[in-house]
Amino acid sequence: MAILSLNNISKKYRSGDKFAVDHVSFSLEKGEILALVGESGSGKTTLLRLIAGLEHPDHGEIKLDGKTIVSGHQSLKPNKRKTGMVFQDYALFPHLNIFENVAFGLKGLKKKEAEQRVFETIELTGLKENIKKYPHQLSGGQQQRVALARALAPRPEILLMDEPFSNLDTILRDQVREEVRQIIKKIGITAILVTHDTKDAFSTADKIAVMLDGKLLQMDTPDALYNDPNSTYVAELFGKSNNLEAVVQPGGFNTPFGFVAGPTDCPFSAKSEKVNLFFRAEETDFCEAEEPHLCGRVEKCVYLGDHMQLKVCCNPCSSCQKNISLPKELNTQSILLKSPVQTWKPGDVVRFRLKNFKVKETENDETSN
Amino acid sequence: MQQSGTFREAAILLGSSRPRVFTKIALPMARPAIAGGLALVGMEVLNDYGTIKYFGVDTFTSGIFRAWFSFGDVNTAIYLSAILTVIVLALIWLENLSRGSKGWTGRSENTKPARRIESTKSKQWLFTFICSTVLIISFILPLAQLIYWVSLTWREVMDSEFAVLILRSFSLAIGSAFIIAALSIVLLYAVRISPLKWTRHITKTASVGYAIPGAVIAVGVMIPMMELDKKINWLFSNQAGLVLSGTLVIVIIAYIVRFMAVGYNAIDSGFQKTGASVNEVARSLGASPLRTLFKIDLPLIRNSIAAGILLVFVDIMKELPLTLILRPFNFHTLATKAFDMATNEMIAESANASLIVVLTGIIPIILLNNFIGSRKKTLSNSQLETIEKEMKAEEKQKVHDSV
Repeated sequence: MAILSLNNISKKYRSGDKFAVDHVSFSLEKGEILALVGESGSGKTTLLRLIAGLEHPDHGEIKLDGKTIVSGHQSLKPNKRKTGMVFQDYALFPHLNIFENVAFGLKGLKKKEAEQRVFETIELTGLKENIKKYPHQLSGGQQQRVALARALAPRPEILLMDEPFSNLDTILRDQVREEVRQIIKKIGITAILVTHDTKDAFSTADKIAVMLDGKLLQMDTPDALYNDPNSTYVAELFGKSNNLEAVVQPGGFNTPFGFVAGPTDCPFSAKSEKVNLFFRAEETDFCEAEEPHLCGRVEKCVYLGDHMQLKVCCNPCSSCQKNISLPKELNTQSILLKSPVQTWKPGDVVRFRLKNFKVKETENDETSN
Repeated sequence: MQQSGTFREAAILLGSSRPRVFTKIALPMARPAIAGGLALVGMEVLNDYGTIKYFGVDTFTSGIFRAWFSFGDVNTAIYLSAILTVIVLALIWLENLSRGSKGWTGRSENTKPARRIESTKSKQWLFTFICSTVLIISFILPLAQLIYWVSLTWREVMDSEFAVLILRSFSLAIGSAFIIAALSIVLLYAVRISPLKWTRHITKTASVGYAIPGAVIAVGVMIPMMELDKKINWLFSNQAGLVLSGTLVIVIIAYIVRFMAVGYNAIDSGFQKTGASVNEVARSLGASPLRTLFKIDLPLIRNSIAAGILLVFVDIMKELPLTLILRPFNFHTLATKAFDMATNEMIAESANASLIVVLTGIIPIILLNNFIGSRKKTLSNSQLETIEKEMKAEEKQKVHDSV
């Protein structure tokens, strides 16, 4: 059963003529971790604050654990919803020590029970020895864990985290991400985290929702989002990819780099002439001249440590493109490839095969959908 | 009042009611500010002479005056001053001690202003009533009384002599304010470009004077100056006269000791805001420290300098005990004139000088308000968006409350 469901939630700020959150609907199963990803101003933080009750939507409905907490202009006060929140700057109370911070949200428990709950939660976050310290005496990573413990101690129905890792440096960040995921999974709580860092989303979340201009573009598992994005924006957000324009031919597609054999059940072959072949930069094999292959010329190469990124344009004098006739504008396309071999230089001829690709309608059609 | 709104939001999401947020979060977090306010009031009261003298209340300050003027007992005056200084410093130290290791400020850099709470119509009237009562009793009534007295007496009091008095008061205050601003800039710039860590502590010590009552400073400045005068006269075989202790020089030096902190802090906040990097960039582009100061730092902090000068100016205009002790014979400022008339049972006449002092005190408030207003106009779009957000949220808060 869905623990949280949003139905047609919209929110406009007085200043803006456009929606901060634009008719967003989704639901989340118990124990799932959702990452809301998008650039600043995409509405992800507003959506989080709407769920927490710190903002009120213009219309729509939110249900938490089967109870309606927002419906039209009616809404439950934020302190009556069972939501825990970790703020971007943690907002630890500077005048209370770690124990008092974590215990702050515990009400209606006997003193002993409350104490035990605090110790349990603090132990879970590995902060036992710091219990008497004040927030400013802790490192950034420790403060982050105190904020998490404080939000978790009242055992909320859902945990909300606003850019939880943005204040940590790169090395600490990887470590804290892993810890946070483990803690959340151990308690089995449902969580939503807002981030603009796709690494955060991939390494922490079970599901990712991509937002742009207040709209929910796509929500799916990390794997599905990466391999089958529904728009160029989503594709580009998660890494280098190519949208190569091609012309449908019997049995495959003509591209400026050569003929690509198509899947037998390609739905586009009958109805449209031009299609896009979507593939990630790393989804290619480099091969020898004897095998069937695509061919191009290195225009630019960038050394990136563990691999080399090649910008490849079509190679007009290549033998494999003899029989291919394409509209002129298609011949000016270039693609990005990732090569584990580091010896490329501009002008080199590249022979490659597509390991995996998706056939998509051309972007213009897609956006009109 | 500038606490980040996220603390309140965090407490509410942890299930706290509004009164609990106030007592457990907002009030304890405001403690340093409250203590600072109390300390300031305490210092002003310890410093005060005019009011206590007029109402006949005996305090340390009046004791120092009496020992000095009535009994001519310099040693007692010095002892009393020393005790008073120790008490003031001990109070500051105690407050620091009681804070212990607790942190009092959030680490947040993007402090979001706390949201206003929408209240019901009847509560709005109640709050307006409470606030305006304080305003009426402490400001509007006394001001009205002053204006009334001035309307009765201004024909007799406002003569050419009074005009000279105003001019003298203004020029003394403005001159001293400029000297203090210049000294503050020199000290602060030395801290900025000096590689030595202790320069900061030394310059900080230079601004301790604000905590010390004027009468104490007067005693403290008077004695070394008299000694210096003796040496000067010995050099010039008693022809020089009291060049330091008998002239305005000693008054200005005492003002510097007492009001350095006011100018120093205002200008320091300007330096802090611009940060060290602009200075370092200029230096790395080959500009000398002096050129950097005049071309980069000073233009950037000119608002802070103006604010510092203005604040010192107003403080000096109001200053009484220090001026009273150290002024040259028969020299009056508006404040000493008002005090003089009041003690000679010429209350209504003294209102003329008082009113001018009060009005000069209002100038900075108006100017600072305008300054803040013009700052708001130049906010960036994103800041405006945040403000709009807050305003929208206020509206919605009403909806929340009704559920």
